[in-house]
Amino acid sequence: MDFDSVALDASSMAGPLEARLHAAVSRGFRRMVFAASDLVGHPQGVEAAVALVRGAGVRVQALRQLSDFEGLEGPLHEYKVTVAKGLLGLCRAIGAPMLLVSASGVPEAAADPVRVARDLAKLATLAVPKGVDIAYQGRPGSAVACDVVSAEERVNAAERANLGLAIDTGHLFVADRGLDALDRCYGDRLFLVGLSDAIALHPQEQTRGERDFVRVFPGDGSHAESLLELIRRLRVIGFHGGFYLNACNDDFAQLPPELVAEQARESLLWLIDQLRHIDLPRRRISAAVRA
Amino acid sequence: MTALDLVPEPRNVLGMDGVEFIEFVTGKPQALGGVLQLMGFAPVARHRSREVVLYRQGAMNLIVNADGASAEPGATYLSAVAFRVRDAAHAMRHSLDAGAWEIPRRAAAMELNIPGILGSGDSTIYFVDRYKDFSIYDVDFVPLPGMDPNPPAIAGLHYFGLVQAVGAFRTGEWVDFYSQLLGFVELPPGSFVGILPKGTLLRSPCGRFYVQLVEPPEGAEDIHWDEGLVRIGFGAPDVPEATRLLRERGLVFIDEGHLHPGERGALTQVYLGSATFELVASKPTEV
Repeated sequence: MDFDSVALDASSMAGPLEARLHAAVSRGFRRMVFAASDLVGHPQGVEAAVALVRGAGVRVQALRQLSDFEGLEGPLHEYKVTVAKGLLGLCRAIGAPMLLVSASGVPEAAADPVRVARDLAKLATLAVPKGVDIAYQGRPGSAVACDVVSAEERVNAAERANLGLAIDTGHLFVADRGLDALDRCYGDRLFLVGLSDAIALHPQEQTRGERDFVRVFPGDGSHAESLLELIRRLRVIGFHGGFYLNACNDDFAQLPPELVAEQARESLLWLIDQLRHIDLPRRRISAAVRA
Repeated sequence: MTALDLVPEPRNVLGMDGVEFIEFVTGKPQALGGVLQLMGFAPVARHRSREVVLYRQGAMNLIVNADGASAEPGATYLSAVAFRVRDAAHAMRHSLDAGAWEIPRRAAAMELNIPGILGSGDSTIYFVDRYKDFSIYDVDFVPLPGMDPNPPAIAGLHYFGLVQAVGAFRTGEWVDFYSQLLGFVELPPGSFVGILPKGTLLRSPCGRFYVQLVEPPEGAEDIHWDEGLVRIGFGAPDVPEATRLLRERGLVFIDEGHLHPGERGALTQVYLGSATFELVASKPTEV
């Protein structure tokens, strides 16, 4: 675990793309996760945003995110295929080797598990010529996959080499089964782990608007030991995917990006120090080189 | 019993029936044409409206596309393979339902509209269903005067397969792609043919065509390794005889180390910076 292998999620920082990129790079980060809106929202357009990212020498770990894709029928499905193609095109443009996909929040989507598997397989196939892996993540409240275990069941049912699982440790400790969820996971199906913590032991009581909990960087929250144990267990189950730091919260949204990037740097240094005896093998990480 | 005998019969949902044509895009059509003629191909027809020439030898059609809109300056690369299928519209529907990208069609007036999907490295996989009683070339191409429209194959050469470069750790994705969309079957390790036994070999559901997937070698992280089609493999019943005849025509084969031309296969030198051809011991399948 080091600055070459752990990305910083740009959504943790406020401000224009230029400022966030500069803040991250100046604090040593060489990989980042972007939201598609970071690119399309650039005042000079997508091409300028792509040139900016490439010019900064940053490798893109993943692009977020496709939502509500699986389980829909007819025109709704076709619409979502169009959206998926657009996002895969952005992945290709920016050199993102992975698209983060959030489990569908449409209640009717869970009615046909076979269709869900077929849709996820279709999405994975769409991603093959673009050189993109699909990282599927459970969403709290989703009828299709509300947690790590159910998300992995969906991934396994679709059975595609470039379709794997994404874990958000924030959700894992707050709304999921915690470390126990990992016991049923296969390391080679885990593509991406978002590392974040929460500021209280039971933050589900702190729900405020769209923020389902207050997310902070690893080492700044209440689940530090669990986070470290999670990373140790990832090694045991053969995880060789990618990590990224994520702490999108109301506090960081009103702070200069340099300050947030510095906090992220401190967090990663803390992780490196705590895990200095843990050697995490890499596999999917190197796939990012094909950007 | 060989390892190949253990492979289950593939499901041929598209009614695949071999290859109709393979296409090169090039900014140097004359130079590439010269190399193809060394390989035994002859130019037989020219496209009605574009800078595209049809080459042929035996049952193999090869298209050289120098159309300004598609050719990068000076570059020569394999850009498409067209599979014969029972029903091209059905093949397209099946592929799109399973996650293929449709290639925008650009046929002009009075030209054929051949459906195609996105393959590796921005190449195209076409579906052609008119190849028995009707030739797609009769519509779009004008025969070149004085040329034999059906030049014979040298030493029984026939299309054997394509070699495709894939990114590191991405063989599985492409195995899924070819098996789910086209019905190819992955052959067991050790099923190799030719003189470059590496990567993963897939066999078409009709049994007449192979795709070899090759990842970058280990320890070569700094090598520039784009995904895409990199080489045509030609089947030859007698590789040494084919090698001899092609050498007489001026084709140069690599002859060093393990790349020594032999009974299993032979590899030509690289032409035009990127075009290379492989001979593989194989008997043509009766059509």
